[in-house]
Amino acid sequence: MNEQLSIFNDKFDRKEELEEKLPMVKLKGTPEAYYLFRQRLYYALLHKDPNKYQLIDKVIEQAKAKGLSYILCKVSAEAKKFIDLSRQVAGERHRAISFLRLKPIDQHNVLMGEFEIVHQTGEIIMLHFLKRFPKYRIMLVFGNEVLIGQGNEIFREKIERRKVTLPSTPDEFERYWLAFYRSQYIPERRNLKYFQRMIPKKYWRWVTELKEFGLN
Amino acid sequence: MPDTEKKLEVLGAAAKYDICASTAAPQKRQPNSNYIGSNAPGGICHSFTPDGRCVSLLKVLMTNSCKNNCQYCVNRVSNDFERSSFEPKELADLFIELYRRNYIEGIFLSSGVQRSTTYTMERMIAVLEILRFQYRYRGYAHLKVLPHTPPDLIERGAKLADRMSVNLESPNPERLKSIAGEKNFMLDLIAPINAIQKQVEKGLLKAGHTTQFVVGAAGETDAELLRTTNWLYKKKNLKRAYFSAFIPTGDTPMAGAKRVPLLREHRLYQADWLMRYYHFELGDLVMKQDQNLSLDIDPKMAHALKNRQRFPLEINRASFQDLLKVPGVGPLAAKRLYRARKEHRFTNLQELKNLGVVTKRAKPFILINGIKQGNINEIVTVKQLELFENYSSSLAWAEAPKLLT
Repeated sequence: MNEQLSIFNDKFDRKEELEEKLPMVKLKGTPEAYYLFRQRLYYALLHKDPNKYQLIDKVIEQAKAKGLSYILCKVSAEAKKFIDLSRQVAGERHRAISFLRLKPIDQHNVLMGEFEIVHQTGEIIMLHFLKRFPKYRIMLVFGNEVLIGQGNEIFREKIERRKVTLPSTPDEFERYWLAFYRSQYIPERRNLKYFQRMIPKKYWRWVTELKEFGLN
Repeated sequence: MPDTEKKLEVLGAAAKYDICASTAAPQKRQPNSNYIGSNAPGGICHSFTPDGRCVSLLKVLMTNSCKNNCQYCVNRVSNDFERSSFEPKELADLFIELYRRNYIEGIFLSSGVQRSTTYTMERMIAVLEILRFQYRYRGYAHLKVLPHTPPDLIERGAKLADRMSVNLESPNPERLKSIAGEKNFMLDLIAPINAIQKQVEKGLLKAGHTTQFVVGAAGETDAELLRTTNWLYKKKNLKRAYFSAFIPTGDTPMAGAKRVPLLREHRLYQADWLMRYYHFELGDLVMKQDQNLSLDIDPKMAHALKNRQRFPLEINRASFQDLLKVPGVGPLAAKRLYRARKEHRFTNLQELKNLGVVTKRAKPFILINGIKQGNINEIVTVKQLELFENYSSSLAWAEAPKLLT
């Protein structure tokens, strides 16, 4: 795991400890506010927007002058944008760990999945699955990049996606999942507007069970 | 697993009216790597059905055989249809395979009462034992507790599950009698809740315990439902109550009954959230004369309109509790506002909007530096205002019934 990740995964009980790790940042706020700000900052840094660094500089200046609450409470337009960047990254991670399906390749002790991401969220998605399935090697394909995780290590490789054929053996458990998914629908409560709010259209291609109701 | 697909269809459909889909639970420490699964503190939904409901748990019945004869239930004993059931090992194996594929976030195990409560609960607990001890599963598990479950089985279940729940279905003994005459409200339902509460107090069941009501099946009022809910929150450490609008299903004596509007369920949830997150007391909720919440105006707006003399509030000075009473200000926005105010004085609506206040709704009820921001007539009609004159203003409705105290 790289150094950047380990900084953000440690918990700091005291403000001094955090200042030791990030000595350049001297900001007014409680330890909880520091913890939250650091998490927001980490996520914002993973955003695809090339202008994020200028925005982050401005936000840090504002935090120095007015305190961390001013930023975390989104009072200024810059603070709001900064929190929005962070939330978009957190949202992508959340959707990936929700909708990404894994395929077990038991002879190699591998769980393999594919998803589309636009921010640099590959590693934090991988961390989730490594923690959940520590006995397995995890292989995640994100477009032209493949991440392989095992234990505390994550390896990254570039691939030419269209040249790679992923195993497509039929899986009886997919049938069982579809049977269960169909069984959960209550027609009297049909509410497609709410449904679309829950799964934005760009994720529909990954949530294959939606086909069961003609939605994919 | 030759007929697994069929069983899943039947026993999944039989469990779909159980609402709880939450998977939020504190993370457990991982002593070694020889396990599978983890809890996500915020909860995860792996899919959604076209009704917009989250599919996060493998929510199935162990069996749809049942010796009870509840009026509203399709699994009632007098219904003549093919019964089905899972063996504990079969269900545990199936669950682990679906979990490994990231289809689901945990298990929600319920059941009809086959032979006896003890027999059925033993089988449900056996599923969790296989998962926890054989597969070393560390993820989320919700165990439904059947009516009249003895305390020793509840204790065993509590050691294995993250959450347990007893479905009350009705708010009081009289209402329950009309839809499930065989069940005794206190002995069959409240007694298991007491036993679960003891386990929660011991530090087990990190995700707490919950209950569910069938709204409208027994002709009960919103006041009755909210009184019981409030009592459960205050006296029984209930984590959360779920409300399910009654939908008549075929092959039951209530098949011809009227469907309850989903909006009523929605209003009950709004009122419930006001009590849990907005520091509202039961008596703060405004009831109509028929002891139901208004379907036309949400409970928070109804409270604000009923108490117009308390508004507008100065946003730079109001207490945290008062901020929570302003329509358009949620707990998160109130918290942000309260914190940011220590170092910043708010001067305009845009700043409030940035931190999450729904200014359109909040405007008539706030002052910024002494300046009024809007009129009530901008958000409600004169007719709606007149309606409120007929609403109950006393706190009498909020008093708990004698039996529950």
